[in-house]
Amino acid sequence: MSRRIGICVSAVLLSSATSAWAQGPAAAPAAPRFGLRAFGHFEWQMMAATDTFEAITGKSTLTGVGGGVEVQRLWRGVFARAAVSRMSQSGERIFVFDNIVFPLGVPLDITMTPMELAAGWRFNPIGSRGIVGYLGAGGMFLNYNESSPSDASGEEVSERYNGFLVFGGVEVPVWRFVTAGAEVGWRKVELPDPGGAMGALGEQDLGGVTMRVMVSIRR
Amino acid sequence: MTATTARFSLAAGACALAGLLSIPGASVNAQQPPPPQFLTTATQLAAYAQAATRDLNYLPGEVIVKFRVGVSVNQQARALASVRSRPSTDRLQWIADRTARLVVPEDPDSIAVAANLMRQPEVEYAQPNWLRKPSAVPNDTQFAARQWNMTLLDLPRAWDVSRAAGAGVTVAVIDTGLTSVNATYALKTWNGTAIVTAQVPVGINPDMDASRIVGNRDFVFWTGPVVDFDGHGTHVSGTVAQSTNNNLGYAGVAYGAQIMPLKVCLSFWDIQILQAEAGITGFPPLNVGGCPTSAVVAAVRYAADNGAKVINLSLGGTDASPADLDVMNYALTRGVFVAMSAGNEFEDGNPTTYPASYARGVGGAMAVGAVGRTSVRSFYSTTGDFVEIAAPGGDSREGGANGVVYQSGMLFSDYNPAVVILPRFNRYSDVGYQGTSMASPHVAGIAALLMSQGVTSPAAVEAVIRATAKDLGDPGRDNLYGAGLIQPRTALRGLGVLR
Repeated sequence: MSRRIGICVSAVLLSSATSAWAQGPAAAPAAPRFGLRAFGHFEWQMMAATDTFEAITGKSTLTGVGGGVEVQRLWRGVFARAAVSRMSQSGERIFVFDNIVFPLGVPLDITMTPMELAAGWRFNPIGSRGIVGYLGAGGMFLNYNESSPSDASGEEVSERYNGFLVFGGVEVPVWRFVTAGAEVGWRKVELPDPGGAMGALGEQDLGGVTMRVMVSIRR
Repeated sequence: MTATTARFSLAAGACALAGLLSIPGASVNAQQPPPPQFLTTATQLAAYAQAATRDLNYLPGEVIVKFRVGVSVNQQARALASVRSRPSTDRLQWIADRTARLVVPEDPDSIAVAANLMRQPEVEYAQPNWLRKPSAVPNDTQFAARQWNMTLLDLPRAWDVSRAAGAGVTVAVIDTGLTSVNATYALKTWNGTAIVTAQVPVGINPDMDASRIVGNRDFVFWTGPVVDFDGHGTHVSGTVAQSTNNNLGYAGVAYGAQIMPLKVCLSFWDIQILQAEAGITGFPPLNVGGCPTSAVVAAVRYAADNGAKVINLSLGGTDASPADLDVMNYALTRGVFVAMSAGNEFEDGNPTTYPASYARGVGGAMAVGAVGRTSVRSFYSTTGDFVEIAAPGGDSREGGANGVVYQSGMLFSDYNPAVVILPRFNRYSDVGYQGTSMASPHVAGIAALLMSQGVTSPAAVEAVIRATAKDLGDPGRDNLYGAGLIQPRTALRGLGVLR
């Protein structure tokens, strides 16, 4: 998975670098007071609850898509971001005894929807390609759902948890108002007393390490 | 064990007759199979009769002896020389590894014989051949208000989760048997004045798919197919795996599972027939019979060695039996889950029940107590620190005739030993029983469902059942309900990420 992510990120960076090179040097326009940017992204989250997700879905990574908006240059390089993602994965319900996992053959669909409110600092462009780095942190809500086809009313899980995140990334101009970027983050969504497989396997965190490939439009 | 037998009187009358399920043509198509060999000798029959008349909880003149590792035949003979009648090693009938049944009718005090043997250095343990009793108490049958037990456990929704309903799993029911043949046997019996040959029809329960009866074996009556001459084993088997969704009769917990009926208990008609076949005149006492430890041990080993993944033992007594513990451990090492009735002696001094109490602290074996319709402990259900779980066993004091557990069983008026001279065992009706005998097969059924779903370790099966039980009584584990009332749907759903 990480290899695939690396290839994607490299491809995006390479293509954007080429485009930027083709544009050539241009006179910097007068910077507006605020900048607005909308973005879409593909996302991978390597779950902190590795054992739980491997036991139920067979993998510890969830994939999803999402998007958000940023208000830039609130003060110098400061920006604010609101973003939402939706990740889902299917697996099967299990029982855990003595650290042995028994899959039960009962299908289980998992959906996670993290909603982020964050702020950060965008550094000055580096080099002639206009590569911009940034760092940020913030809070998040996580809507978590799990359900099985045989669920009766009230048996499906639909919960909301709070957490926080930090992230950092780079972006490069691609074409006019379009930039491409890659971002790495870390989410922490601590559950005080989880039940289910997380409880049985002694895990408490619905966060994890995230990787995003992003395309932005700014004005 | 203070004997509470599995005998029930059916309410004779319209209600019972309305539910009558006969086997058309069973007599018409009667086969005359070659006569099987009977497994119980006249001497042993005398022991059963003596046990009944003297109210003994063991077979007089029989002990179970286990020799230590490496003991030679000569050393075995030396140990046997400690018995007053000095039996030879030919008297040893091997039933398990280094474990034998010793038949010494010359020494009827089995407790003394066992004590003598226990003092010998060659002997690991010796014990009387305890006579266990099926753990059910009498009640009447009625047609109405059946199978509240299935509703109490929310089984219809559990089957939504486990649609295979136990398919691929074999449950051994070690009991009075489950008739596995349609036939009419010419058997001798006593008609009150003479030994006569009677045509005795036996038939498979029409509400039990015959193709799911596998590996049946009789350890006490004869070498022929298993026939239930009592009804207890039929009822217990029905709770485990009665055919379901067949527009007939009753449902079973794991109706996709296979049933392995292993007959280890002799009841009145077994003894009556065996006596007559041996030329012994007269009727045996109505309370004659029981389930000798030697047969139970052999059956458990047979089940474990022949593909059973769940064993139900709805029988028990009040005397410790190392042989039972040994064979239970053998079954567990072979990946077999064992459900056992916790006993019906709460009002008889509430003694510890064996082999159920061996389940305490052993992963993969569970002692099951009984509750009635309102999930309150049944009046008879033995309590103690060995009770691990509770399941519906019925409670007539709480629910009257509607408070017992109903399954499709043999029509009792066809073979009621108090009134019938020439019995038949091929007609089925609605039969209500209550007892921890009835509670245990609910747990065995759930174990089969779990095994079928992939929980293949007996210890894990027990852990699931415990972890998902509905807590009753005092918070947490208690001596009345153990971990609480079984919750099949919750157990079968297992765990998601968060719930």
